[in-house]
Amino acid sequence: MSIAGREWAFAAFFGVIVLAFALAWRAARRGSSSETFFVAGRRVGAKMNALALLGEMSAASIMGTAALAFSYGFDALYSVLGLVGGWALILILLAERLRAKGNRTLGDVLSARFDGSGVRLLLAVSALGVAIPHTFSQFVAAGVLVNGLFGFSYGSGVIIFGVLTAACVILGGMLGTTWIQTIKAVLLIGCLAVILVLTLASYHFSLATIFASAAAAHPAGQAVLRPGLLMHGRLDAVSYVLTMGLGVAGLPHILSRFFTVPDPRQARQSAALALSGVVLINWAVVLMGFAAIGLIAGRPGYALQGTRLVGGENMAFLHLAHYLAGDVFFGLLCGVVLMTVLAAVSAVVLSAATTLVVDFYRAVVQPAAGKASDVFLSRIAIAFVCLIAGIFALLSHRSNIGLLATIAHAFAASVNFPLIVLTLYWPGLTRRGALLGGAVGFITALGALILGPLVWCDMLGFAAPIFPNHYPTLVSVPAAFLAAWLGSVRAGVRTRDARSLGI
Amino acid sequence: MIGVAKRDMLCAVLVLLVLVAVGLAPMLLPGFARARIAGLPLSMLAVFLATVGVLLLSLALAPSASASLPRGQREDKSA
Repeated sequence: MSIAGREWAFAAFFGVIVLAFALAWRAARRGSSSETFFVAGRRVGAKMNALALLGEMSAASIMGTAALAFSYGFDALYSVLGLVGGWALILILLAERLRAKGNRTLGDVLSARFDGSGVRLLLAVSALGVAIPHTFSQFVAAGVLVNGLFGFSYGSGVIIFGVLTAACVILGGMLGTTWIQTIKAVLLIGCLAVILVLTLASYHFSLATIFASAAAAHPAGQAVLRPGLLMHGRLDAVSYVLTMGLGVAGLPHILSRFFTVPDPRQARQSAALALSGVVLINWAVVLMGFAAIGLIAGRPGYALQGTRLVGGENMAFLHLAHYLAGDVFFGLLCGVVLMTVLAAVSAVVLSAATTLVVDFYRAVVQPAAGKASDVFLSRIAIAFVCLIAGIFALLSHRSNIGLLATIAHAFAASVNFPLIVLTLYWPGLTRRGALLGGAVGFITALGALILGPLVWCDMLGFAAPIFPNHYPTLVSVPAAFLAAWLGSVRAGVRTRDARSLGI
Repeated sequence: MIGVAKRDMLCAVLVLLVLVAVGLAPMLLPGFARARIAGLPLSMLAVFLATVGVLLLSLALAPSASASLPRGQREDKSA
């Protein structure tokens, strides 16, 4: 990046910091009641909630999808299939029914059916198992970005982002986070639209030319337009799609957004708008990834050799933007990307903190504690989560961000999704069945990940994995559902609130 | 006529099956993976149409929450 581009990027980054603080401060002035802090007073309209949901899409998602298309071609579409499937499941199965329960956390939904704190605690453990790797990976991404763009040390980047995230979420709560996500979504969509138009214009608006150029420029040739460069077979592809899809549909920080709208109808509307946005954005990003092959692969200044890029494969999207639009736009885009990281990690941190306070502290440790202290305790929990994730990020500069994302999605798919769906739809589910299903899903997912190629071979150095697939969901999700069924059918008693669910 | 909950579950399963099937098709059918239509890979076009189809199906389904709550509890009673 030229000096002019770096100056613009720095200015944009500074602008992001100022904007984020301003939004958080304004949200704080709206009051700090429990309702406002945790669920934004349940006054977020459908359109704003849809933009905030799109704002949950992390920079890793945007840049990662483009990088997949750039490096592996067709196999990037499995990510799109998974994401579209997951958001469709949210719209069809979850959005309205979750909002109809009118609660703050997913644990509240389960506790409406099941007595005792066991199921709530299980879901809380899973939610933290999702949130901590997710937050950790975003801090690593932020440190790498700041280091690559501005030349600050990686550690400085992690600390800056950790402090910024903690400050914004502590001040603004869910309302401030919503505003940050909304504005980020608008800016990101605007930038994507500009790059997309420039991309299409550079190929004379011919999609066929884009794919033909990609095949000509990519080292794999025509194979880039067929599956097989990344996926290690059919089972890998299916389990990847399920991990992405069911994982998205089980992510606590996404599902908790539906508690912020006034009623179930608007929850559905926001999910519908978000799904539409997900389809459009993902296809635009995939197309740009393919277009980037023909434009920047092998080009000096952007590529080292073939599809090996300066700064790593995740830079495909940013390099394309710089090539098409120059230093100024590139600098502004860098600011938007950093705001994207902030928006995504803010939601995860707030969700984790809420889980710690509501599902763990108040439900298990101090059930008699009044709600008046919830906001204060959550602020402490937010700082704690940021500190832990920041320490992990500082100690693990070379972390495999892909593995961390896989862990988060695997737990969400194997524990959260089965528990929530069965709670909302199956009157026969008992407390024992829910506990058994959640525990089996968690243990199976964890075991399959450890014994699979990502940990057993890549981290521990063994020659061959014990579990053959990269993603555990083909085994862990059916195991969770089966265990929940087995644990319930022998009980023979309908839960006390099954009829009130109207199912 | 099936209930709303069963309808939603069936649609969810259908969505997953369609998306997995269209993703597996080019792996199982090499000719399909290599085919072109107007210069575009047919398999990619199929994936695109599948995702758009899933979007349209999801949007077309009628709202379900108000129908699934018992009478007297359809309004938002959040605290």
